[in-house]
Amino acid sequence: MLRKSYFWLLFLASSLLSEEAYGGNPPNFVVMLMDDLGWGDLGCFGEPGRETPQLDRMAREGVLVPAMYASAPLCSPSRAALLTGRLPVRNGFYSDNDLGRNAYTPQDIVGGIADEETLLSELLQQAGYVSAVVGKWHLGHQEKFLPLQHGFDSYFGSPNCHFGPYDDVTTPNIAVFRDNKMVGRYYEKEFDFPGHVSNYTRLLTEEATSFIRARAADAKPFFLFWTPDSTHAPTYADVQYVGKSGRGRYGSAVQDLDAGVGAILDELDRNGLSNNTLVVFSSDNGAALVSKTQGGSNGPLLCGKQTTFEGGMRVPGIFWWPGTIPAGTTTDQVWTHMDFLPTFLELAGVALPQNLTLDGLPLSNTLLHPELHISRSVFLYRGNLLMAVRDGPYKLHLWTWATPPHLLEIDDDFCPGQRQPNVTTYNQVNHTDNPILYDVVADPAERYQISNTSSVYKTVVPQLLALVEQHVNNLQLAEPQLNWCDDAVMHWAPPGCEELGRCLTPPPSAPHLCYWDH
Amino acid sequence: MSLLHLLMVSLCFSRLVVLSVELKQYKEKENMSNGSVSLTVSDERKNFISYNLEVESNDKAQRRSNNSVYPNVVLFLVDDLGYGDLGISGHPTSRSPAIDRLASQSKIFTHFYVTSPVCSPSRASLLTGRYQVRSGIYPGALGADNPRGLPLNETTIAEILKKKGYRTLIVGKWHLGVGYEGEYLPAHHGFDDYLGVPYSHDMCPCYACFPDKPCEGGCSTSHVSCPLFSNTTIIEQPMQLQSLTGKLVDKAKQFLKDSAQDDAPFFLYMPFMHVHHPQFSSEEFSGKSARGIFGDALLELDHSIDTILQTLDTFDLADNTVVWFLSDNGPSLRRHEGGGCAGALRCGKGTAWEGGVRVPAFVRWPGHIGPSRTGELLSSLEVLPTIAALTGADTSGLKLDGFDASDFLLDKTSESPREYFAVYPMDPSQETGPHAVVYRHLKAHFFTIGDLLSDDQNYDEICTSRHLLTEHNPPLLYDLSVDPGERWNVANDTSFKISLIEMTAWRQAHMVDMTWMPSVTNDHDKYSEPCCTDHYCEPFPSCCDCPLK
Repeated sequence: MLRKSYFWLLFLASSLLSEEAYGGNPPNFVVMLMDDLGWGDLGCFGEPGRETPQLDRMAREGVLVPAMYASAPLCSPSRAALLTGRLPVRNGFYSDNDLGRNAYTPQDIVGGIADEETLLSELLQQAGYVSAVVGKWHLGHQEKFLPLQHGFDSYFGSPNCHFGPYDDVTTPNIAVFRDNKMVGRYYEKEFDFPGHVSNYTRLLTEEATSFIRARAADAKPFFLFWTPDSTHAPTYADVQYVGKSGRGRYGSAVQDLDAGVGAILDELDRNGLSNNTLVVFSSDNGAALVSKTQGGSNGPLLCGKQTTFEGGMRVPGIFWWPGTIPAGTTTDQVWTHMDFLPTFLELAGVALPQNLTLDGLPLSNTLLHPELHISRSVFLYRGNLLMAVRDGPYKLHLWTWATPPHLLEIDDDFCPGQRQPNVTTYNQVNHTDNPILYDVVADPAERYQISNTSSVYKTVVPQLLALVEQHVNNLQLAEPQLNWCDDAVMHWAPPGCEELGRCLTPPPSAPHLCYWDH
Repeated sequence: MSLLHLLMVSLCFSRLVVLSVELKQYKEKENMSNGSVSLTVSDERKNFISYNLEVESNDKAQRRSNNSVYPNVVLFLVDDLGYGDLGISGHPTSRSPAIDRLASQSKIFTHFYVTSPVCSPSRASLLTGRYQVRSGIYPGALGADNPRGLPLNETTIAEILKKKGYRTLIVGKWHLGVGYEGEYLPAHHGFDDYLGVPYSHDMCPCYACFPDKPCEGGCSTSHVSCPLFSNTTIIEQPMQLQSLTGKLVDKAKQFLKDSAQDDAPFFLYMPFMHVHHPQFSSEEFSGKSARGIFGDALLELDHSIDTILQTLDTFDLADNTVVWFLSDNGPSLRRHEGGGCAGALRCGKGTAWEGGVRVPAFVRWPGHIGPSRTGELLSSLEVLPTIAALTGADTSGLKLDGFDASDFLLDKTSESPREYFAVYPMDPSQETGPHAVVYRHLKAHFFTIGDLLSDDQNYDEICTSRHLLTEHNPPLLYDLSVDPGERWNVANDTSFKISLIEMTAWRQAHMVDMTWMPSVTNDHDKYSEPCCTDHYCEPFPSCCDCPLK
């Protein structure tokens, strides 16, 4: 009943697809993935100040996706899911040290993306694409985990969050890499951020535009993964945006990114590539509401980063491909980042490896034909715990957990001003026997629970629970990669530090189980 | 019994004495202020307008009489539309393509307030350019059985434009009173003609909101059926909700067509019944939106606006017409999915929080105003003086609270004329005055009170009716530029200390300067209810329904 079958339309569209547009040239792909940018942070998503003219233009010329879901409410697992097309529990980007905790790749993490995982970059590389990561990687910082070992041809940026500055004694500053070699550290010399001012986003933009120019010159299809981190705390912006935003320091960072987006789109235009390039803009998770006035906005949505409520998982989504996808449209299609991999392969005419289990769906038809709508389920995890499922207009919470008490005590609130009894719970609460149901189409803010005595509830909940059962039964858990921590693996002496004369001495190795506190 | 009766009479009498004294003071004050705030069209404006005339093609200029060098005015007022309800304001599910397109051609005000979080007071201010406490349109809204209305000595936009030779039409929800003999209807406030329901359509019994669905949530069953007025005559009672929008739009279309044919300047005021509870729509839009009944009603609203804009295009009127869009107050959150959405803003209808009084608003005048956006502070009080300036209408002798923002709209200056704004609660009193003051991007709450309209199940306790009137000293202070949702109080941040002192002082001066007209909204008399037959008929109220033809 929930699922309407659109397969005949899908078939029709697929047959059109092969004859449409490409004339034999595989399309290029640009994924712009922001850091902690919220659903409500862009003008085209209703941010009151409307300070993102380039992104608003991108939306006017492309397709706006109000129902784009990240695959985890935190950076590393979200990014790993995007690049593998698989949920973190399937690709190993989780921890089972404790139940349902958000884990990521801080400096002392031992793990990273497993060799067995097949990344979008690897599949495209096999098909002759040239791929680059420009910005934050966050899939592990030891050499074997870096992008060049996982299908990318070049890399400029940092593998970690830009926390700091550190003293280089108890903790080293995060390294910035070019390809497999460190070229500096955050907060030091060329990558310093005095007073939250830095040209780093501009550097990342210039890296991206020169990569595009190089591909225009060698006429090779490309995949650019542009991942600036300036909207993650501590936020920073180029000097020309300081004091220019009504939204303070965070707004300046958004303006800086907006200009970068504009520069990249312009570069595609200048090189005659925009008609053959699909550009996607999104964010790794919802806005970090713990940053208060220095952070982003999730608009009307409930809670933020770290949670599986809409504010943690629903993120901005814009697709842009002039001449191929219709301009100025808004799609009702529910997307996840995990759909990028199969969708891109479909557009590139590359076959999926046969034994690869994906959580994403190929959805290119819904981009080319916005009237199409493909039914699908979205499973929302916090760590190794399946918290909620969305299918059709409904979202069912099996478990709830907002902010743990020890963080509330220090005024770090994932759901400020949004106290819903039995929903924004301070502890993990298992609702499986009496799950909480919302209609997130009519009620995207998850304000109004559908009563468990209503006929809708009685009809829908068993159907959703059946989907959950099916999902759980078919899920093959990967070996967790984020269980172990060790101070010795920090950025003491990354490859390349010798040439710079900036190697630090690591402490003796002392592996221990990581503590994930939320 | 007789003693009690005597006591009541004496109480009433003393109240009358107080009333007349207040009225006298009010009139004296009004007279004193005459002239000092008169607004006239500056020479600069005249030059600007004549310059624009010269560059127009000759034949087009020839077709215009002297009067029509000034633009026509269309004012769209949506009912209970929240800050986060439109496609352009970032609702995840809403679709409002025509309104979004109009906005994209307009100057968008992202920081725009109405003067009250409920209907009637907000409308009184919009049409008069004066805070509602001056006209007595408080507390709350005018009910079906309220015999009073907007005082006849108030001057509306329609009146000043009519004096200027404009044709004036209102279609939709008036909500500024009917009176025993229709003495407060639009006809007595400057409108040549009227088609619509004079108050909210939940103040009368509601039966059929959609072709296949009953009305969701309750309507009043103790009052007369909803009347549909044609000027001062009831032509339908009960009014049919599903066919209402079509009639209103047709009336407006005919008005535009006639005005175009006669080359007459016009003012079209369209206060929609949408998207007030209970949601309704004709068959064409029922079940068509993903958002449910609210989305269906929004689609019908969007289509109405699209039709009017297309009519302007058809008759070549768009270039010479100022179109102003706004909402009367924030969303009725108590209606849950059947009500609107305030987006990132706090609380909704009935409260002085941003969700109650900050509304979507934008203005289009092709070639003159927009497309652009501004975060400068503006309010519905500015509508009358600004339209007056753009049309050359005379506002001398009026004591206005609004500013002429025409230079700002025409991009002659980048700064709004408004620096401060007083936010009155739903139920204002002279003792507590405005509950909040906005100064540029700062907002200070001196008092807070929640309201049922913002939903007693709201996850934000301060929005609910359980949050009783609370004084804040120091006031709660929010920096709206970085915190539009009013989450983080910065009253203790020393960098705002001077601003807070200035806001407190401004509020005190505002309170001293304000003239309060006694409330007119609390009177009730069932014999004043609009009645197609006879007020004294039996059995009341059903006997008031128009006889079947």
